[in-house]
Amino acid sequence: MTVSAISNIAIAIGITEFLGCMFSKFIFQSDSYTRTVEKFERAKWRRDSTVASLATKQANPKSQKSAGKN
Amino acid sequence: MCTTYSNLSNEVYLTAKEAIKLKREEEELSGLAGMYYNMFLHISFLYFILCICCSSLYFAKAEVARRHTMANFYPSIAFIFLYRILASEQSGKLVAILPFQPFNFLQKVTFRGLSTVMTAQELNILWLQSKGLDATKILSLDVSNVSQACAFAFIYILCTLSIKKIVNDIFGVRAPEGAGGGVDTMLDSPQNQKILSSFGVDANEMKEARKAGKGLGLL
Repeated sequence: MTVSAISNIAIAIGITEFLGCMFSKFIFQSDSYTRTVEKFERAKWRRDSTVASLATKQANPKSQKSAGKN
Repeated sequence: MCTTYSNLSNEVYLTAKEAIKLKREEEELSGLAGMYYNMFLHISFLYFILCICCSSLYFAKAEVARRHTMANFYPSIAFIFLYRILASEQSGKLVAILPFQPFNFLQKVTFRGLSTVMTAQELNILWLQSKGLDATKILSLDVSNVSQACAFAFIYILCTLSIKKIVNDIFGVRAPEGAGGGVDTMLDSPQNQKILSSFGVDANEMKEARKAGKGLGLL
């Protein structure tokens, strides 16, 4: 009785979570989600590259000086 | 007369030389100022671009987080229904006997749905009956205290913490790195910041509070 009750609870929770995961996968395979993630990745890359160029500019102002002379 | 003329010409020559030198210095200084001004403009422009990039990143991040939150919302509803179904099935039943006596606050969970006016002997009989044994003939020594009784809710919580997590780790879909904060990430988007400020919440104060919460491990 107790083992069967515990296993019933465990199996029910496992199956529900599995179905939930499958449902999530179904949602995440859609085009709109893929596009959203792509947009996010692009925005992240743009932010990272801007931060990097800003850091370079602040750390090495002489590069600007030589560029100004040229 | 000659010396005066040579002195004068010498003075004129030196003054002209000094004027040229000053002119050159002035040109150099103006060039330097221009260069710094250009640099300042360039850095300001980069900061401006960075602000735009950050706001678009927050917007995209919030959009991804929103989709993940919505996808996790429906299984949560399913789990509420599952709890109700299992609770109605197992209510009042003794599901397990704990090998220890839980703390008082934990007993509220472990004893949930069971009769509180039960003696250890009654619990023992109930336990033997649940095992399918004859309670009148065999006296088990499993139960020493009535607080060892474990109802459905505690098992459900343990299963949720273990099985649900394992299944989610195996089959679940994780949000991309940086967008997995859920509602916390959604609050960063410019739109939500506007909504928060319309409710009178200071965005900067809230950010600091969230940072402090993360530092303490609360969020």
